[in-house]
Amino acid sequence: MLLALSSALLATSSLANSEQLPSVVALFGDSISVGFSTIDFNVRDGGGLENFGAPATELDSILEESSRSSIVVNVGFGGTPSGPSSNPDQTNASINGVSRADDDLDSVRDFFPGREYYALILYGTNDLAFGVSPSDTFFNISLIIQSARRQGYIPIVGSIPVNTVFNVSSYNQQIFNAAVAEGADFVNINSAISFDMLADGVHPTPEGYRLIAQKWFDDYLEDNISIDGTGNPIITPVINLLLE
Amino acid sequence: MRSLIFKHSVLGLIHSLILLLILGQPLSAKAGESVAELVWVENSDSSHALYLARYQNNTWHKSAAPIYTSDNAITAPALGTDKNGMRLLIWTEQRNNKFVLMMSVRNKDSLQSAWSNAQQFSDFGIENFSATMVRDIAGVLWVFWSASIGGLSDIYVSKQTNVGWSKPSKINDNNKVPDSHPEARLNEEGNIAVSWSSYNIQSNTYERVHKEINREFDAVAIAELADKTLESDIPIPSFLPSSSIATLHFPNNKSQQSIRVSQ
Repeated sequence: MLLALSSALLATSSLANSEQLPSVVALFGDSISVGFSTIDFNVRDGGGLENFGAPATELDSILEESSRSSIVVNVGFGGTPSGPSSNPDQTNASINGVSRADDDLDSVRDFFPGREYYALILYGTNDLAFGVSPSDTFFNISLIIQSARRQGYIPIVGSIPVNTVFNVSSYNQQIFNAAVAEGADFVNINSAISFDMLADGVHPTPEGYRLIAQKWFDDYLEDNISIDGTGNPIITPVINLLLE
Repeated sequence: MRSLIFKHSVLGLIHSLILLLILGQPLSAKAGESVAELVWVENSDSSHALYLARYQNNTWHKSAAPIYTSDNAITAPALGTDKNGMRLLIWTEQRNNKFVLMMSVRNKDSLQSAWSNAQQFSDFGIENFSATMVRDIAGVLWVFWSASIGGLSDIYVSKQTNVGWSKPSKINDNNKVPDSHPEARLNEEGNIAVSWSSYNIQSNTYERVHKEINREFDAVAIAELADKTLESDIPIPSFLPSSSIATLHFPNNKSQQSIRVSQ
């Protein structure tokens, strides 16, 4: 009994440490995850940096204001499509969502200890320009969801925002289909902003980025990342054990 | 021994010089012909345009006006030249929720000659993407592209005929993965070598799949195919928009006429 209790205390102590860790939210996508228009266009890579770029800082502010202990990491990579493309650079260098998902998400886990990991997947805006068809996007988003789960993340898939280059509806339908097929949660980011919130026809204005971050929070994160100080992770398991 | 090596060296040098004279011409371009051409998409607001540039006398010359404009999104243009010098331009255009291949032709190798009105090349299925072309030994154009008829994309080919184009036929095996982004060239035996991107379920990665199209030609000497200009021989012009996929076209290259490039 004593041994069981001390084991339980050790376990719950570990659990308590784990519970004290922040939730880690990784923004995984293209330049709209990096935050183009609010940062230098030459900076393509979010680099796995904490609170880098408007999408990350806006979401971090919202989470902090709502008393949710969290870290928001920018894992965006500008100019990349969801999978292989007709762009020779993308094909040869294999820089696309599918090819980098495992490694980049794994790196975030290595660097940021967290109690749980969320991957906010926002890919597809570059797909048409790079010759990636909507059905290919479906397949690629499915693979990215699988990669996120393989790396210990909860994947949440977003539809892509409007832009002036192409009608995104075909792509968003396939992105939604992929989320459903893989059993992942879906957030309709497309509904968060309109054309007048685009800085250059593709990338959101600062206000657009704020609304996108709010949409991620309202539709998923608010209900899934607990408020700091709620519940007691130590007492409840010990009492349960003593009652056995 | 030394003189033998010297003799072989001299013979080798002469051989090399002869080969250089035969094959070393960067192109068999006639006066006024372009060595290479470049086609790409430019977007401004909700207008989309195809532009063409020609490489002559070591300089790129961009067409003053776009060769095609549309309110619809357009992407991945490809350019080819058949045995008569006819230019064929193919691109993907979004039509509501379908993506069709459009085409335009120009019969003379001149900037002044007009491109024909755009017409549909293929609305096979619901998605047609990433067209590329190769000219076979007989001077006939073959167009390869990826198309989806409702599921994932497959690679299709259509061949130039006396009356137009052959019915599209699928070249990849039946599978449950996307097949896309074809590239085509003639190999050293004069056969059409096609490669495309396909997902390998065993290795969990995208890989290039290679296939040789059925041999329809007599054997050809390698020398006949060696009229090549490489992508690295020609600089990508600074006016090509960043993050734009363009097709670099070598009208007189007997091996590969179309290469995707980007700024």
